[in-house]
Amino acid sequence: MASTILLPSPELANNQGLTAQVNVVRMMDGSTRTNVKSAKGKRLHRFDFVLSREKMEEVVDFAKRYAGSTFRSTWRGNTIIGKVSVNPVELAGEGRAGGWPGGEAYSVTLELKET
Amino acid sequence: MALRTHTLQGQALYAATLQVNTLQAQALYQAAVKVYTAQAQVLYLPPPTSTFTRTVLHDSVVTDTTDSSLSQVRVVEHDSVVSDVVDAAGEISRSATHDNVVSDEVVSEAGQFAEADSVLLLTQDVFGFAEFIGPQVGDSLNLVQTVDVQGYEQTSSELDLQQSVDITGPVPKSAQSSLNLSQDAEFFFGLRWAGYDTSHDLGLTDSAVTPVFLDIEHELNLQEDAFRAFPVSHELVLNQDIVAGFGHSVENDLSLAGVAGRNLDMKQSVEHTSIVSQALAFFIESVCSKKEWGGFHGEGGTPPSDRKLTYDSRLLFQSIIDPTNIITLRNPETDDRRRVAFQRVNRNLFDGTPDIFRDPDWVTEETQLYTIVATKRDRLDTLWQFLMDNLGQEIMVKDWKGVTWKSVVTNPGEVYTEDAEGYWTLDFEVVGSAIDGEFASHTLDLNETLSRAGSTWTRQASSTLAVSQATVEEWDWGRGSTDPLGLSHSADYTLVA
Repeated sequence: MASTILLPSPELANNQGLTAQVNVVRMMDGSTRTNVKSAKGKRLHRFDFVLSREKMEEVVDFAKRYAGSTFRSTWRGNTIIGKVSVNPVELAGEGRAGGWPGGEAYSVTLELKET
Repeated sequence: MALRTHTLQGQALYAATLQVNTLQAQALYQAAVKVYTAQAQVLYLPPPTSTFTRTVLHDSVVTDTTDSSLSQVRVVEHDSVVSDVVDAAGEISRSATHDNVVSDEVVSEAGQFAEADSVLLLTQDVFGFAEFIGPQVGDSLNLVQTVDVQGYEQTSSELDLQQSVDITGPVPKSAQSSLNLSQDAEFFFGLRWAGYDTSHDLGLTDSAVTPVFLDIEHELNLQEDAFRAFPVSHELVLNQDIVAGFGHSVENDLSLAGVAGRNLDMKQSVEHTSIVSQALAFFIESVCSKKEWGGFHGEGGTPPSDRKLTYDSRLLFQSIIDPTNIITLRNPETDDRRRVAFQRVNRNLFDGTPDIFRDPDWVTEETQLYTIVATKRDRLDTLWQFLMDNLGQEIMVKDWKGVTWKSVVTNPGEVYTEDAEGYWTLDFEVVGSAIDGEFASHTLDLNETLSRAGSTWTRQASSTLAVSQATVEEWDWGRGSTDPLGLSHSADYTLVA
C-alpha cells in the first residue's frame, strides 16, 4: 500500500548533513585514535514547511498512519529514501492566513534520515 | 593800479590792471576808458537796471605777469588763467548768462631758433539751480587759437579740447554734447627750394555714452516706535526692491525622467509528468519599497491577508462527570501548538543506518497547547472551579473548528497572568485525541474523505484529486492569474485476510 502527500516547497534554510560519526580517543601515549561510523554516506535532511490548517490536519493524519514507515521524498529531481527521525512532530501556529484553507498557517519541521 | 608798456611791432601799448567794484566800474565806463592788455580784454557791462535784482556782484581779476627784459632771453612764457563765475541765485532771476571772451596773443619777436609756446587754459562752469526741471542749461565754450609764425620756424598747433556734460538728477531723456572744431593751417608764402611741409591733422574723437543702470535697488526701512504707559515694542520694516534694466527672459526647463524597470522571469509552474504538477505562488517586491511585514512566516510565497478568522465554535470545556458543567472561553491565540508523539523503537545499525520500528497499535500521543488572553476575573473564577471539579479527569474540549477532543488537562496548576487591568492570560496543555469520525470542514473539493482519526477503511481505493489554486502576482500594478493544479492519485491495495 502506498500513499502520497503533497507538501509545498519547504522554506529556505533547509539543510542536510552526513550521518557519519567520528569518535576521537586519546591513548595513553598521547596518540590519537578515531573510531568512525561512516553510515555509508547516508545523510540527514531537514525541511521546514509552512502549511495551511487543512494541510496540517492531513500531515498529522499521514504521520500517525505511517510514522514508522520508509518514505520516498521527491523534490527538484532529487529522490530521498529514508525514515522520519523527528519525534514528536510539532506543528506550531503561525497566525492568520486569510484565503488559505482553514484560515490559519502552521509550521512543521520534518527530518528524513536516509536508509 | 599797475601800468606797464609793451611793444608790438614798434607800437606802444599801454596796459593797466585794475581791481574795481561795480561802482568804480560804472564810473570808468562813464569816462569811456577802454583798457586793453596784452592778455585780456575786459568789457564792462552796464550796471543792471532792473529793480528786481537783489544784488549782482561781478568781480574780475586778471593777473598777468610777464617779464621779458633781457634781450638774451629767447623763451617767453605766457600763462593766462581767467576764471569768471557768475552766480545768479536770486529768487526772481530765472536765468543766468555769462559771456566770457578771451583772446590770447603771444607774439614772439625773435630771431632764429626761437620757441614760442602759447597755452590757453579756460574753465567755464555754469551752475543752474532751477526749481523746476525745465530750463535748459546751456554751456557754450568757443575757443580760437591762432599761431602766427613770421619766419621760417616750424609751427605746431595743437588744440586739445575736452567737453563733458554731467547731469546729476533724474535721468534726462536725452543728453547732447556737441564738440565743434575747426582747424586751419595756412601757409602764406615760402621759398620754393625750402620744401616746407604742411600737415594738417584734425583728430576728432567723439563718444557719447549713456550709462544704463541695470539694477536699481531701493530699500525702504521704516521703524516706528509706539508706546503707552506700558512699554510695547513696535517695529516696522519694509523692504522694497526695484529692479529696472534691460534683460532677456530666461526660461529654464528641467525635466527629469527616471525609469526604473526590471525584467524578471519566474517560473510559475513546475510540472513533473510522472507525478504531479505543482503551482508556485510568489509575489514580486515593489521596486521602490522594502518588504512589508505582514505577519507571514518565512520568505517568499503569497502573503495571506490578515483578515478575521471564521470560527465554527467557541472553545468549550465540558465535564464528562457532569455534562451540564460547561465553561465557554475565548478562542485561543493563533500560536497554538500540536505535538504528535509516537511510541516506536529507534535504533541505529552498525553502519549508522536508522532502524525504526513502530507497531500501528502502539500509542500515539497528541498534545495541544493553547493560550487564551483577555479573560475576565469572573470567568477565571469559574474556570478554576471547573478545573478543581475535574482534576485528572477526562473532559470534552471543543475547539474553534468544531472538533471535539477527549482530553485531560495536564497543567491545572499553571500560573495565570493578569496582563491588562482586569484581563488574564491563560495557558492550557491538554492531551487527548479527537473523537472518531469527526473531521474539520475545508475548502478543498475532494472526492475522498479526509479523516484525522479515521482508519484506512475510510480511504477509497482510487480517487482523483483536483485542486484549483489562484496565483496572485504582486507587482506595482495589480494583476492576477490563475494557475490550475491537477493531481491524480491512485491507491490500490488489497487486504489479505
